[in-house]
Amino acid sequence: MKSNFSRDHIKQIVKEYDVKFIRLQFTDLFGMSKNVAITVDHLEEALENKYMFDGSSIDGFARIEESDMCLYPDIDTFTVFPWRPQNGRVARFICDVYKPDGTPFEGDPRYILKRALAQAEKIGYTFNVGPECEFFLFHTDETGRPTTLTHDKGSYFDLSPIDLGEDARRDICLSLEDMGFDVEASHHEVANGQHEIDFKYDEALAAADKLMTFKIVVKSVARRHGLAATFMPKPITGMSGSGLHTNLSLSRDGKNVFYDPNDSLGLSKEAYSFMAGIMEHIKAITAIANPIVNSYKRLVSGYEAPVYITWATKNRSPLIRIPAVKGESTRIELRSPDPTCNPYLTFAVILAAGLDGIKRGLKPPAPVDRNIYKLTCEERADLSIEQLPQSLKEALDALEKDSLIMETLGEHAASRYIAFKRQEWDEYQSHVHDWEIGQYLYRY
Amino acid sequence: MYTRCNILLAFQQQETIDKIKNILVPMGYSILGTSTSGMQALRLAGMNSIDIAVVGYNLSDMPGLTFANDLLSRHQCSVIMIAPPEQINYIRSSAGTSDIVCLSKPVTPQALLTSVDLVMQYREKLLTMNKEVQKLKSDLKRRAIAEKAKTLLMNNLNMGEAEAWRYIQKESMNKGIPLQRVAESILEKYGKL
Repeated sequence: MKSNFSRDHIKQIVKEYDVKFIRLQFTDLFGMSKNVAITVDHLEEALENKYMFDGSSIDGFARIEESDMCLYPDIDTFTVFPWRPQNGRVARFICDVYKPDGTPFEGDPRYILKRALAQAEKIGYTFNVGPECEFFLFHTDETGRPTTLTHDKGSYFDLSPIDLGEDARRDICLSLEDMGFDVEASHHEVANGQHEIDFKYDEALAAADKLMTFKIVVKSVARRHGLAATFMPKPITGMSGSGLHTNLSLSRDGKNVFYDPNDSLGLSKEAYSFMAGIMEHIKAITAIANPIVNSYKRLVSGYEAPVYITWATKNRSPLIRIPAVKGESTRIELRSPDPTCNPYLTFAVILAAGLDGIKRGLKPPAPVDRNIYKLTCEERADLSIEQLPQSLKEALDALEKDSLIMETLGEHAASRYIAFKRQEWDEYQSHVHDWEIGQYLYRY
Repeated sequence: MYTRCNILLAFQQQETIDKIKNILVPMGYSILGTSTSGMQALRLAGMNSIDIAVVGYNLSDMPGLTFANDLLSRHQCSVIMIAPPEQINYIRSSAGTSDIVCLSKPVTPQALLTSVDLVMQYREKLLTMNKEVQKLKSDLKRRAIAEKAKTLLMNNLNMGEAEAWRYIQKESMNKGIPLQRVAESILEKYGKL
């Protein structure tokens, strides 16, 4: 139930669906969905962009002396949540964050993406993104805290032929469809309790909005099934992690710019340059697309996650894969992002890197259609294959050195992002982990 | 007494679960599962067919009312909620038309057993009524298809209403197939209205 609405239409729907609360939703720098709930009586004020909040309370947003922020609802994002709470229903808007002087707040991830999209628009491009999001459904313990046990392992449920996760995933898909998503595929993933749901590509801003909504829907519906959904990239050692494979293409006047029927792979010059641009900036992009300490435990050999900066058509271990579809569906698939990333920032930096590749006419290296995990160090050196950052620290170092990606984020967001993430890394570094206790305590 | 009634117990304290169990089990009721956590209880309900959930006002990880609403949104069961007397009105107003029966603490064994029995009687009646509604819906659907087929015959073969109806009946008798199948084949042949 999503469409482009007029204000009157929104008011009519609110009445018709007995909506009692409206969530004004926005995303912080670190990809966490934030919201302020207002009662329907205040809908008019919200639509007049009059709702203010304290930005200094949001991680990475504003200093205390410039804390007043306004929420401007994007009325195209209006939707009624399909689940029915105890009293009345809940609807939401995704909002842009503005300063009291009426200018966009430079730390708002949605604004950062809009700014990058405007650059693409200047040269006639529309950026399309199709994310494939993986997640785990786990059991909770007696106090409701998530565990890493799945129904596949839970002792009690082993006896039952019914798959709780399948049931929850079906329910998630139905809820997403109710909210206007075009769910293209959903399936059980490699690991126990791991699932993937793919929805149709969209323009980047809408795709990022949908991804944020998607996470809320997955968590809410899973909870109703007594399951805890997590987008943590690598929750279990030795099992596949959760990625956010991101299909990318540019269009101009409704035509896919990445398609060239005369090329052996069906890719245009722009597509190759876009890909080369991403490969050139990928180390810095990784700090945004793989934003947490745990992200780097997924980017290891053996689980189909990318480790090296290569591209290929067939094998599934490279950073960028060219799916075997041609024509309007021609696209490239960036396989490194994970679902903990802030989609607005991630799509913005990917676009900036790709456009940089096009502007500079960059050419990607030759594809590597071999299993890169099996190449020796010497073979990789001969082929000039570089590695993705192996830790959050390495990625942040790379980000600081990449002026294009830093500029795309803007000084405000980049400085706060890096400071916060460095702190996260330092905390992780100074913490004594279970692995160390297990390995060293008895030995030394 | 409904000994085939599957009951789920969800209370914050294991002690309360044991007490309720001791009331229901000797009377022949089958306790399908117990949990102090709402999330676990939801998983139990997802894996089994529950008739009644007897639920406390608070669970270890969520309010009992949230659990009851989540449960009822996905499962065709009933909830008996045992709550402090001062919360009964709140539960009743929040539950609205949901299938939640409230019992005020302290609950006597007799009150609980009577409630379970009444809920089961009500469920049986509801089940019978649902079956009747389904049958009526199916009859209406069949009638609508037959009406459409009749109209198509009248339009395409210039038959009168009685003649078209007789034609459908005869086809059904001659071919030994249900009237609805004949009507459907007419719809397929002459297109939908």
